[in-house]
Amino acid sequence: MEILSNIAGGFATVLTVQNLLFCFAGVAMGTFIGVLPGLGAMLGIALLLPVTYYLTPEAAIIMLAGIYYGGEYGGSISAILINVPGTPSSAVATLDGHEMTKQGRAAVALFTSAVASFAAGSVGIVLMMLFSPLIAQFALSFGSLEYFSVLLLGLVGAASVAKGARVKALLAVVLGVLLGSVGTDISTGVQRYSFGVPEFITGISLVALAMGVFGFAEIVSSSEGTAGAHGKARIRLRDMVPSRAEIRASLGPFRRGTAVGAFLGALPGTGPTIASFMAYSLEKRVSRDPGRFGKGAIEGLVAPESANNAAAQTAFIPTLTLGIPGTATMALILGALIIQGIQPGPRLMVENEELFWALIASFWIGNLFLLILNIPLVGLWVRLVRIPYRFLFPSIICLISLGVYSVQLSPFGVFVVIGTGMLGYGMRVVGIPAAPFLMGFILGPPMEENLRRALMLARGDFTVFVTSPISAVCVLLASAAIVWPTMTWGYGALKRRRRV
Amino acid sequence: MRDQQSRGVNQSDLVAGLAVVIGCGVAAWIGAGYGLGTPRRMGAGAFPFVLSLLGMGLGALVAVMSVTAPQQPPVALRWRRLFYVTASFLLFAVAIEPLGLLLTIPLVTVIGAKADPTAKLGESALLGIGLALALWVVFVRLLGLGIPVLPGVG
Repeated sequence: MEILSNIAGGFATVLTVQNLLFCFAGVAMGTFIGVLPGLGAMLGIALLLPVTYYLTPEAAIIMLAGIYYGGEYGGSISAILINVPGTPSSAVATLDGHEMTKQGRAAVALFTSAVASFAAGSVGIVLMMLFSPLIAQFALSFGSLEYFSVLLLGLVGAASVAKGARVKALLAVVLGVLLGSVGTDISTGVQRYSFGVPEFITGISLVALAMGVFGFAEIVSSSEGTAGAHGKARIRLRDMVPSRAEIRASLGPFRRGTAVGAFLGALPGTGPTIASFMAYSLEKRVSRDPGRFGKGAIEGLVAPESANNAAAQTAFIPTLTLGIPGTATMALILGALIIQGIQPGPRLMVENEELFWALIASFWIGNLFLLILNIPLVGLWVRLVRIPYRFLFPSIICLISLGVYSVQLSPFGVFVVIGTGMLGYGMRVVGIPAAPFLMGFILGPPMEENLRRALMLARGDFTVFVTSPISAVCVLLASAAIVWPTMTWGYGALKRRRRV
Repeated sequence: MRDQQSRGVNQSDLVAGLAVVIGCGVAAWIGAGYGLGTPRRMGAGAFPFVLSLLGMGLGALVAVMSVTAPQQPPVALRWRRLFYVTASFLLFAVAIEPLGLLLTIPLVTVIGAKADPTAKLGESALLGIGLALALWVVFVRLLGLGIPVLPGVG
């Protein structure tokens, strides 16, 4: 019953004109940026990060979170209508979703996708309400030792599921942590890698780095023209209602997809993208007629759509209760909380209880907004996809520059955007992923602090990391994540050599 | 697919791997200078030093693996985009304080739009003026930030 009174308190906080407005702004921005292929929630959050400096912590986090789960809805719209996933996690929805559009069932696909997303998101929220307090309770007993190991597992996990070569993903994490060590070392006061530049004493700004890596680099490398030149499907409301057979066929995939998504969302490293792929392949495996998949099977749309939205919600559990984000987007939200002076972790549930429940309440309201934005107003988003990039990109350049400038009213940040942007573009060209890089940058400093404290308490004895049970499990899993793929890779290389 | 590709050095990987080795080598060198300390009392340099070594190792691995990698099509760098996008950010950084937001934004928009060869000057200028007014309303009027608006104003 305590949960009920807590959530009631949360709704009381959210149901103010100001917070509702920021919730709506967040989900609308999220849908918009999610619909546009190539631009993800990452860029949306980075763009609005400077604005949050002027908001209350509640409004800030409600808005940024809205961009995140709003992006999941938006990404599906372009996946279904124009066969281009707006976000990576909606890539699977193109398989059967766009096929349905070709068969003239676009309206049903959009409706089913929005409803499945809403329902799965709601399940994710309920799980979050139930489990967050328990996990936070458990994590209160964590010391530096446990934190270091859990952070290590989170970073290795993020690297091992990133797309592309695993070595490059690990390298991305290492480079990110290294860049995160720029600035004054908290415990010794030594200034590291600041080269006498006063602006670097407090470290490289997260806002500028995120804008450089996800804004600048994205604009330089994305493709030309418009995203939706061929998005011509006409959507009418009365075509939207699925048939009874379609509803019946959707229930199983919905349940399984939600379960897969909710579970994977809460794990470190795995987020909505992996959840949607797993849910799709699971559905294909349990189906009595796998041949229908890829040819407009509604099961193939419902399962990944449920999975990615459930995962988008449960991803908040480790971020808020442990202070350990599972994905780079979550890491950015964590960074935004820290900018607000709130330290995510088990103490957040105690010290900022109100904020936590307000956020949960905002999820319900935000998802409700999204349902409205996605079903009756879907035509509007389809039209927005046709904005040519030659209008969109200069606007983003202006928004980034002005946003970064406004944080400290100094052009220095804009130069940092140029620097990190070139670095980000270079990394993109050679296939070093940006997401683990950003996670390393954000999680590096707490990792160093916890390592230092843990070793001090253990009198310099490294074996504590494998003798303490929680830490040992994390270290073991992290090593397995590195060693296992290396072994299979070595085996594969050996086999290839024999064939040549 | 893969069997048809000839094997050879993946040049961009080789260059990137070597660049990382050199960069991390420098970082390790500087990091060691901050004092390594002991495990019991880690110095300011210990963490960056160990990470730089790790980075060097991974960079070397990328470079070594590039030699036997399947041949990739050569990477086409987008010099035009890179040039105009960089130029527009630079322009913003140097112009915002002397010229103010209302003049800087249209200039940045026009330069930024040139990254796309199909952009027309008239269209971009119009977009720039609209953006300048919209951003002025949001950032200066609504958020009340002390951003320079025009030369000598703000």
